[in-house]
Amino acid sequence: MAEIILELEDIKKRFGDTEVLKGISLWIEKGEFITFLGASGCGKTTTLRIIAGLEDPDEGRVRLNGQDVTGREPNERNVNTVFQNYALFPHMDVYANVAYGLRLKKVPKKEIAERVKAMLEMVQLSGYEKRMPSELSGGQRQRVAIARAVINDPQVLLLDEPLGALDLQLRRQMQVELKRIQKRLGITFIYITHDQEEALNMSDRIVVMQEGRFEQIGTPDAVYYHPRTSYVARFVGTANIVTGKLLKVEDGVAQILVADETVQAGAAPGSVAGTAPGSAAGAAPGSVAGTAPGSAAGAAPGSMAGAAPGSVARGGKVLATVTEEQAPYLSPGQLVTVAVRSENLLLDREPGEGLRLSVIEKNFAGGMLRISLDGGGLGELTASRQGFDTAFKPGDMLTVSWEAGNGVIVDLDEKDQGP
Amino acid sequence: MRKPQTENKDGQLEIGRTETGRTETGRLETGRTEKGRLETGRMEKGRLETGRMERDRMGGTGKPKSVMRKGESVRKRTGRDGHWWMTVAPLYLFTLFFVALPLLYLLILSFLTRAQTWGVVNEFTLDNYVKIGKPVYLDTFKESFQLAVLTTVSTLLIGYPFGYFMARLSKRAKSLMMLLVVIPFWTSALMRMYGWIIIFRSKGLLDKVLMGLGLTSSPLKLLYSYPAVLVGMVYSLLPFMILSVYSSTDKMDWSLVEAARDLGASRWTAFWTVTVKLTLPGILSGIVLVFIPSMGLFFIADILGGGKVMLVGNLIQAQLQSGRDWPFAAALSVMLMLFTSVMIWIYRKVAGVRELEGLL
Repeated sequence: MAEIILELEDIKKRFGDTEVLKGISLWIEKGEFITFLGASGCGKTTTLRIIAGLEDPDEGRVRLNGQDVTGREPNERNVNTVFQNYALFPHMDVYANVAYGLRLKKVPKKEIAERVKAMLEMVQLSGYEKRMPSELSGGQRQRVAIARAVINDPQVLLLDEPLGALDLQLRRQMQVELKRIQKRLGITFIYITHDQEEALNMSDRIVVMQEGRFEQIGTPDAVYYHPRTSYVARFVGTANIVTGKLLKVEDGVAQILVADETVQAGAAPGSVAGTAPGSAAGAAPGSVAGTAPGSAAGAAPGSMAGAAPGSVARGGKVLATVTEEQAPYLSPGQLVTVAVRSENLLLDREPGEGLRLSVIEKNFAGGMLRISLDGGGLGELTASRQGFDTAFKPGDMLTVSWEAGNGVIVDLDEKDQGP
Repeated sequence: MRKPQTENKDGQLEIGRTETGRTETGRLETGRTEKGRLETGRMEKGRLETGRMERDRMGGTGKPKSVMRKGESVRKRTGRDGHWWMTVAPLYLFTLFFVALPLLYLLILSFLTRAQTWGVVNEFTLDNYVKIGKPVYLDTFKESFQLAVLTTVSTLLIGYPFGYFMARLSKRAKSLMMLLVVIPFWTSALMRMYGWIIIFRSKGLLDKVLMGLGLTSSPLKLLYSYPAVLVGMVYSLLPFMILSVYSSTDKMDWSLVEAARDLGASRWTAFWTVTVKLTLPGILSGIVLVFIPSMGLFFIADILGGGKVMLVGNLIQAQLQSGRDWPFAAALSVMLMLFTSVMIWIYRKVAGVRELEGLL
């Protein structure tokens, strides 16, 4: 797999006063499915357009299959694009749309007919040759756009949010289909999306982009479970971000004291309010098992106890894993940021090690129950659970913790963590 | 650029606030209007997020789309409520009195006999149409047709690039260009033709410039010639071509050109296979708008042609005034109309375009 098909070298681009790309570099292997993930305006579409040749970079080089193609016209690169709005030619029927590229290459008519037929079969649109784009549904147009691009046998296929306009069900179906097409043809796919689920679902590698920079490049697994920055942690899946003072690192586990500065003073131990005894562990089975492993008992006193009754939130001690790369950059006393996935938050009514937070509300979204927790000065935390409801009610005080393995230290010495 | 962190948090907060009603008034509004969407959103996370994105694109605090749409449709319904004839009836009446009846009169007139001195005798005859078959008159038709074609081709060659590049200008530049194109209409067409006389006449402006530059040694004697008439025609009809090309080019989806380029088309091929094809309605309506008047415009040939150039328009005018042969003038008009109708029919057949930019 080591063959590099596309190489971006320190690409910079500005539109007027806005620096859209701030020097990005990337190697893409042949046959790879790589996804550029980022919010709108992060520069991902510009990157794609530069690869396609529809835009010229201000600085940097684009190499396709070892050849420098920077500045070459789009028709002089063996790269094809599936546009966001499909960009089907409205004055041509499906056949003419798909055959467009081959006709330009002066491929014999008979061969064109055969290849168009095969391509339409592949995207399951046989028999639609004579239809005009206006007579097709969104999903069908999408397939025509894919067929029209793929038929040219590109070295790299660029897809600019191709499923953005489709409804959820169709989108899921098309995701599977796209992946199938990619595997079958072995073409390198560069896929753009702002939908993290899509990215996690389809990609071999994900490039998370923010404000013209690559935040992280890695497998879906790495990006999801080992986000490098709080931005990645938030953008890919719902992560909670807390910041605290590093107490110590022991056996690869960092103990971090998270303090809510807004309520620190005058906290009286033992005055925990709003805990209804006996009704603990009422959430979905399995997910609320226990609190963090009892290894570290040295939480800072005073920060454990409740302050004013009701919704006042308080800090406590939390855990995070330290990777070998991170270890050299950590020293006790420094501020560290920890990201935890919402599904990994452990909730318990009993006071214990962790953060004491009150429930703001619950709601059922995306097949998951989301529990919003008031973090006071820490900001809001969200826990998610399978199922429709939980015994926790708004106003309940809960102990929030997580297993050391689920806490990831992010935003650490970014300079030393380049790709 | 907004920080995505706040974006995420905002989304979560808003969901919460709508339910618990903890919102400041401004927020609550968006919350409420979006509630339907939010509820479905809660079922499927993906959709919720797109909803949020849309709102963000609209500027966040702006009125949600759904609300405006609702308001509009309500207004429309009440407006239509049983009073449709009030708006449509004047249109029918106008068409009847000012288009249909005069046309009918013209048609009847063309089959009547010319009176000895003045006016018309109510006697049916086909003579007027037979008369058109005379070589003198047929030649006039031929010459008119030639000039009309030449005018149309010239306006297309100048007007297409003009309209095309105008559509690609910035918004402000566009409206400025539009103004410049339309300004000539603010003065009388007749006045503008006299302007051309100043330019074209012997030792006029054009001659002075050309001779001053040493390009010509003697006056060109352009005035009262065929080229002068052609220039006048092109000049006065060009705005129609420009504006109709502009209107269809302005609607062009340029990503289609990019798609063509991406699929391997050179600039030129992409232009011919996509841009021209998609702006064809504009081209055709421009052709029609230029061709039809250029068959009938008589004052340009009069003023700049000095009577040397005889067009159908001039013929009709002559018959109507000095010739006093109204029925023959009517017959000529009917023929001209038939002729142009056939031309339009052929255009549509050839181009296969149903709608000529809202015309015809």
